Amino acid sequence: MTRAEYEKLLEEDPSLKETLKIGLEEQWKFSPEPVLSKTGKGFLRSAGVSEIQAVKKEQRSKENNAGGDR
Amino acid sequence: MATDSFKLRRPWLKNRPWDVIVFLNEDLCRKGNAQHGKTSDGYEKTKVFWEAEFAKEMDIRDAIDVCLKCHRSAPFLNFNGNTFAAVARQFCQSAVEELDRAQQKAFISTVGHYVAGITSASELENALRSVSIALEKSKK
Repeated sequence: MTRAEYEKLLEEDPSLKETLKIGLEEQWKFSPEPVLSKTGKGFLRSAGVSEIQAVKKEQRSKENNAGGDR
Repeated sequence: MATDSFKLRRPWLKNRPWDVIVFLNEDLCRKGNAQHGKTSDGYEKTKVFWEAEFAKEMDIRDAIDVCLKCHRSAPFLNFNGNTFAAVARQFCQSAVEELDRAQQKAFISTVGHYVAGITSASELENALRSVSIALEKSKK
């Protein structure tokens, strides 16, 4: 496969585009150099609690809106 | 549809031939200002393994394990973890679209941590069990 064919696939296949998007969004958490292969233990920077707090907030707001609709 | 697809053996990785994995890694390295290239000890064996596995029908757990094994084999100079975790997170995401966002996030996060090599197999098993139950409930 050539680079041009891959880029065409990126345009045509939303799941591949999504895979690249996920990779780019999560990039900062990863160490570039191989860690797992060398140490047997992986590495991932913690996103802290902000991520899960944002999801919970969104969830609560959805539940409140649903309750208000009743 | 996603409920059934989560339980059935499927070719989860079939749209990701090896060349696509290489280009994905190249893009991630470019954006991350890291050198893209092959490792002398990991590249060939990982390529052979991926090419033997990616088109097979398998359950979702086995597909996640293929990603973990490839990460561990380190075929690329940089961003192996991110490359294979992104592949796993994407196909897992597509399997749990029926769930609410919090459940999806929790599951996808566990998958990402597992492929990154920092979460145990038993934690992944628990997450798979919880998601399976949640998907059953969402069907009713």
